[in-house]
Amino acid sequence: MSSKSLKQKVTDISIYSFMCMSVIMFTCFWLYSAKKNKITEGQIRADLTANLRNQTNQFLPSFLLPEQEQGMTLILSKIKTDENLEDIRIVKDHEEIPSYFKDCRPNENTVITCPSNDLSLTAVVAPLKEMNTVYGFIFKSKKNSSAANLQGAIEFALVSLAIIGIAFLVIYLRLRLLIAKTLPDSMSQIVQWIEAEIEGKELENISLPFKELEDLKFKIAEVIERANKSRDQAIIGQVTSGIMHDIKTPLHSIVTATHLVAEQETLSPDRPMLLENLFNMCTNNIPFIREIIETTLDGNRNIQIKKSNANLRDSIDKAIILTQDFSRYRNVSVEVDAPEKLFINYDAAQFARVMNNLLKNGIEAATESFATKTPRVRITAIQRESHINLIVEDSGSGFKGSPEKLFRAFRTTKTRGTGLGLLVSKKIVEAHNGKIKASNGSTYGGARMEVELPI
Amino acid sequence: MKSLLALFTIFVATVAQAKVTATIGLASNFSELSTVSFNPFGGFFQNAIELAVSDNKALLDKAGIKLELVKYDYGTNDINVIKKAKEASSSNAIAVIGYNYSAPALLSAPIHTEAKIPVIYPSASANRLGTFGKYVHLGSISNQFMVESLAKIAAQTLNAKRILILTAVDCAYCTDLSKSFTEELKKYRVTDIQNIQLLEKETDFFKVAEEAKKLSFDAVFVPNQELTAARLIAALTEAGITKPFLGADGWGNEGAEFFRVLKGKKFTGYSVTHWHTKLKTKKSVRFVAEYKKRFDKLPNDTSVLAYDSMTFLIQALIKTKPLTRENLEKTLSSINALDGVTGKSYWEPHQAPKKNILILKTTDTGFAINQIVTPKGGSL
Repeated sequence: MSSKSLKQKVTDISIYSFMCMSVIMFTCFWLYSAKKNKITEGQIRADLTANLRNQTNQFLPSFLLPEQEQGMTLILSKIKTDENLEDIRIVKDHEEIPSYFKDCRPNENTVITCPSNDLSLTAVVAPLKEMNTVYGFIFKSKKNSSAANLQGAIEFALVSLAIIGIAFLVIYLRLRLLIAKTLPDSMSQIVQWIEAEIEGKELENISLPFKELEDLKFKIAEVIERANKSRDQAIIGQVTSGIMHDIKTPLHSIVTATHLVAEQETLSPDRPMLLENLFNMCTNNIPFIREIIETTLDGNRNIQIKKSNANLRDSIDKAIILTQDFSRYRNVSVEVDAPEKLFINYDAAQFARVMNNLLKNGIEAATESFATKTPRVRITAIQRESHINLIVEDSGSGFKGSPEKLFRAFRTTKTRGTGLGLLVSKKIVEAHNGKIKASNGSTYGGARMEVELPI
Repeated sequence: MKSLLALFTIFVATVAQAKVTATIGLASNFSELSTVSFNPFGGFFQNAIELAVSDNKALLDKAGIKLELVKYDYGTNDINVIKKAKEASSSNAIAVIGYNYSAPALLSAPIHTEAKIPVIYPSASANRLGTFGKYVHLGSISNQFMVESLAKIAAQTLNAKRILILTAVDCAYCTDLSKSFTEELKKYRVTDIQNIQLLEKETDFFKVAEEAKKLSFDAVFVPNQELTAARLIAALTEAGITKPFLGADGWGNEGAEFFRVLKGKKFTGYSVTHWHTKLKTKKSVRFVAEYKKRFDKLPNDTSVLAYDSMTFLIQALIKTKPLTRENLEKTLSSINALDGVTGKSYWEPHQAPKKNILILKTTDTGFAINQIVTPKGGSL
């Protein structure tokens, strides 16, 4: 679909509002103009004739009674002021009517209306008549604008106010819809879309109202794609180099032992001893290589455990023996504070991998701080009512940042390794319904790994 | 023969007892409340006419006259007066009584004169009413007589040298008084007279008071009907004017409505009236008692003038035979004196009567009789 830009959308709303306003204003002004014309013609006539009957009755005694003759001028003056007239006078015939009321001929029997030459004034002329005697005519004129002025101004103000009010209401509702609903909804759609993208789900084609959001969506998609590619390449490189490094040493030992055998004559007296050496090398190193491979594979699969009642202390001791050369080579002192009997229902083989991993990590971490501290690793096991706590602390520099990130795949603080050790350890512990957590310990000031296994 | 004699006797008796119906037109405002004077729906006028008819019933019966009173209601519209006057003129009415104020009287007089129907104006006082001649009969003293007394008070009692006149120029009574007063003052060499013109139909006189404040004067003449006069005096006293006020019979005599409009504002005022309820003549005391008993209110000058005029008309009707407009006019013209509730009146035919008038002075609560002015040839 093609969506418009936000700017274009705002422009559209403005144009739409403007068009609406124009239509409304045009309609209002058309109606107003029509009414104003009627006001000018009708209202003026109505104003001028509203009190005409009473006024003619008021004037007639002035003609009939000499006592009231002088009242006429004052009455005319009062009427002129009260009705905001341009002119008022008593005339005998059309010749006394102002010349700018062309063709205004008084009628003895009825009230007539006359427009001025330039249409700026309207006049009425009414006979001052008693029975059959006509004493004269009352002539009243008023500016066409004067009657409409006040009413017109009020109407204009009201109409303008109404138009502005409607326009603002339309704009306000549209913007409120845009800002309060459309934008948040669109952003929410984008977030859902990104989550789907990251999780690799099948993407639904979302419809966004603005081009900017559509562009943003595709830019985010590109960034995620690039990030994924970089991460994949890094992982491949990291895993490959880790595996290669870990496999290289035992493989080299085997290759060296093989070369030593190959260099001897078939009947050489040293050949049995060298074959024995090759055999030992293979026996000791092939399981190690297999473990590396399995660890790598376990990082991406569920771990199956087979529980049996066994002594956890045995797993601890076995791990210490297996890492004895490793710790001794690095001058790391490994201490154990654990009861001799720690029977628990667990998979001893899988848990040995956990112990090996934690102990080797501890030894390596302790080594890194040997310049300032005596390298140490301490294994503590505590029997609780419902579980056993197994704690491995080292004298290294501890964790920096969030220790929980260590349990994610390919996260390692070491210069080598697959970065899958702790992930696999976590999977094994959790497969036992246990917990594993990392923190900074207080015993040696280094890292502290604590495993909680239910009994 | 005996039978014929008996039939003749019955015929003579029947003829002797047959009454003549005399239709009298009552012209007044019976339907609208006036903004200038208090005579709601012609009540004071109509009540007095009814009382006069009632009081003279025996005389009428004896004369074999049955009165039929027909109302001609012109409301507050002067032009309707003309219409109603023409209606009355073309009716079977033998005479018309009413038109309580000067303008209706002046508008109707030429119509009735032309129609040759006698008309009695009980309370209209415009000077020009005395110029219409035949068919026009007046029950009230003229404006001229009133201003003679008022000018004397202004010049001699108040020693006023400068007079301000507030004239409603759309009121014939007011302009007539104003003009006459101005002329009369000249006799006392009072010529510093200033006029502020106004319209009777107005009710807010704030601007008039503001204009008056700018002028210098010793007394204010307010020749208007009672409600307009009271509004004007209220506005001027409100504006701080403390000079004495002068007025004519338009101010009334009891002053209930006049002082209600003033709302307790104090001022010194002199006015003229035809009669006062506290006048202790036998006829006056009896009239007040009868009127109050019959209508449960005190009469005013409109009532008493209407009563006297109707009595005058009834006296003429009794003396007129046969009852025609022309014969009635002759009888009316022949009567030149009346001893009425307002006192003894004397007049030349078709002229305003000469009779006592009362000068009233304001008190805190109303009007009090200040003096009685007796014209030449008239006395109580």
